Amino acid sequence: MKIDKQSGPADGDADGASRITFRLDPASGVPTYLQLVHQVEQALRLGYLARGDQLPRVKDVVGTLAINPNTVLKAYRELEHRGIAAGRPGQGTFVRAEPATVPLAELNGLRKSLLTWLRAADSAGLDTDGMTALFTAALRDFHERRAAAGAPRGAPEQDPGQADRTA
Amino acid sequence: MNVIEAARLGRRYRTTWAVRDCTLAIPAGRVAALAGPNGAGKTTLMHMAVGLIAPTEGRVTVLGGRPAGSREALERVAFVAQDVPLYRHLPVADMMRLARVLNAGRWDQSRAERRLAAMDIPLRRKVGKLSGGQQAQVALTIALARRPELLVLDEPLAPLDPLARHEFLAAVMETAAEDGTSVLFSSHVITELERVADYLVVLARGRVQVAGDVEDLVHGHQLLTGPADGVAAIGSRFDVVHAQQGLAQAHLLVRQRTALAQSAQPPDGWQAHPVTLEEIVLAYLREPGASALPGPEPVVIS
Amino acid sequence: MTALTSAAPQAGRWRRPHPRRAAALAWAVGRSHRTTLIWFGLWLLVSVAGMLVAGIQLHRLYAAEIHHDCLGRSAWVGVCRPLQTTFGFGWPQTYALQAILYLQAVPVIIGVFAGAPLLAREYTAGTVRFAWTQGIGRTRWAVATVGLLASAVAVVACLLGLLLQWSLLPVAAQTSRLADRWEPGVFNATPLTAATAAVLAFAIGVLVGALIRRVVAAMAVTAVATITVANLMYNRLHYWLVGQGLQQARDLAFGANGNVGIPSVGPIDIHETVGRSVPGPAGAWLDQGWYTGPDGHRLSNGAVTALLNKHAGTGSAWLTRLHDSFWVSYQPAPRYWVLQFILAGGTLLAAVALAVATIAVIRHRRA
Repeated sequence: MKIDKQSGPADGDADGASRITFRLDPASGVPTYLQLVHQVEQALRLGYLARGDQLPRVKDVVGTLAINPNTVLKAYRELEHRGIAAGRPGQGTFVRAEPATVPLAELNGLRKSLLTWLRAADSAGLDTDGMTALFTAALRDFHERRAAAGAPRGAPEQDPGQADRTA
Repeated sequence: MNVIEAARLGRRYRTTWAVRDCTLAIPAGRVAALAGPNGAGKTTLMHMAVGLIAPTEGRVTVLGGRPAGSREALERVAFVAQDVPLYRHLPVADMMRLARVLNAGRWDQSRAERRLAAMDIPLRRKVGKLSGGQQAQVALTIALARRPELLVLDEPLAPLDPLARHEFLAAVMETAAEDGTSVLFSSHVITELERVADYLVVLARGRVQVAGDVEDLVHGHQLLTGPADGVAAIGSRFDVVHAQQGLAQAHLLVRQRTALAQSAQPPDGWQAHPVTLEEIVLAYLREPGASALPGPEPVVIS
Repeated sequence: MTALTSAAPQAGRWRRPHPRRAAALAWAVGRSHRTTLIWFGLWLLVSVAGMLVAGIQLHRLYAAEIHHDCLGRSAWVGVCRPLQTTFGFGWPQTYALQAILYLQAVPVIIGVFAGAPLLAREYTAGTVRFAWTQGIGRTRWAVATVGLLASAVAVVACLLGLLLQWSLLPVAAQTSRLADRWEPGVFNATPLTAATAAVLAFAIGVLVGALIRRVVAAMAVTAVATITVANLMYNRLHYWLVGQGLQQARDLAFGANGNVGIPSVGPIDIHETVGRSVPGPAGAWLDQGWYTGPDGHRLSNGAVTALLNKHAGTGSAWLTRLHDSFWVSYQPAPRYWVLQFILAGGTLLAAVALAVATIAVIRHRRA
């Protein structure tokens, strides 16, 4: 049995495994690069990653997931724009700050309003799938509007040609 | 630099044109997918790009203008043909040694050894006795040990089981990430293309139907759902690629006319959905007259 | 890391290429065709063994003849009689016939089993799609493959020719006809000419394989082609070649022998080497003979036959009287090597031309 270590000392010039590893949900409908972004943010929230940790090397990520390297680069660029990560040329991409954590009180308030909405949707006749579909569509709309509104500042540049892929 | 450039490339076999009027400019540093149904001409196109056959008309150059099949091109382009042609009666070690001799000027022995060891490929076994996945990996190892600038793969995944497919793709992606190798692979299966490719060429009946960045294609197309009697009005704002009409409802796969239209709201009564690359490819394959080729964008002055 | 734009290898990541590239290429060609080479090696071994066994026997018998001076004064007497009978009518004759015939078949075997499948198999198996996209390029690959294997073929045929010559020495020393070095079967199966004939047949097979691209069909066509060429060389080409630049002489005892067969039309073909039973300049090969009349003009066959019939009972006396007006055309002995080299050279030239044509076919980019 082979244990899939992300990278090990035997792998040429690796200087150690990364603390986290990515997985993909191909059926979720969420773009791949966003899934990676979310997983980094989640890892930060849960404490798997701390400031200064190195994110997995692009080469290792694509070697595990078999996805296009530009997708990983796009995810890391998005993390840079969100202020979460920073790339050091020739070394890799490192965690810069933790994401703004939401205070517990606010989390509870959000949860309560969500339950209210769920009760309203239930009495309107929606089942679980319907609720999920509606929520997913609204979430997508929200992201798109926010992306369009923030385009001048935050849109990632489309130039994967000569990009530094060994981030 | 364009890693593959074709100008009105065509190839005829007796009376049929396998490839016709093909013009391409695939930028370097991409993982480009050549998609299309069986018999579309993908293999013929690839064979011309690697110099195996000569075009009947037009020309094709690689790696910034080098003629396909020239000595410089052969040294820098690695090709794995369909069904992985290797010398099946040779043991793996001898096959590798043969490949090394045939590529004496440019061979990374340590890389080859590392890869074969990492995949537990038995060096004494004859190539013909390996599994399909192992054979593909041996062929890929040979290609990668040549340190190519361009890697061309003809239907590499077709004979492989799912695990072997994943391992093969992972290896290709890794070399693209590590060395910046440009990749061109063909496939008649389009479901997994979006994850892997960032440039797409769709070939149908020997002609290029679609060519462009995957990201541009995905953002440039959307699915509009709305009333069937409103279809005609849509045509003024969008290019309709494919229409699926019921009696009351219609789905239209459309392409925005200009870049700015990307963020515009869908017309009244219509809902817009993003589309996957697979849906886009299928739509074009269903509409032989439609094409999405790169060209000068109309300038819009706001 | 930007894409590589020059041929310069990255420092530290490349191995030095194999120091002896030619040797490496030879290994590559040999390894790729190891099975064929092994089969041919076995075939060579069996053939050599067979000729060796027969040859040793023949040389032993010959030594016995020398010991008892059978070829000199004691001919056909006592212990020489069975020896000479054997050589004259026994298994040595059969062996010589079969061995010479076998050597005529050698180029055909080589062409069909080594030449035809060479490229045809690569096309059928699709491995050209591998071989021709490697850095070496198809021209160098083809030249190396065809060149190296042609050399191997030449060595095999040369060895077989050598063994034939050696094993036939005792036979050739006695009877003038069968194993004579001017005989077409022997002339084109010397170490030199056997090698070049095999290389030509190999080249034919390789070209056919490059054109037809299917193994069995290529083998069939090559068989027809090589057999045709072998036939032409044996019958037409040989006599044309040895008929070039003949010298003439008269006053030979040939006519007095009475063993001239006079055809009704055409020249009196002798086609024999001077020897114990055939008089003439030592080692020469006699082409044709003719009679001249008292005025020095050539007598027609009809006239000669009429004269013979007229002097029917006194045939040999009449021939003795006329012997000084019997002429022959012949090749003197030293010309043997000149003609050998002409044949070998011409055959090799043809083989090279075919090889060049093969390379041109390969380069035409049909795949």
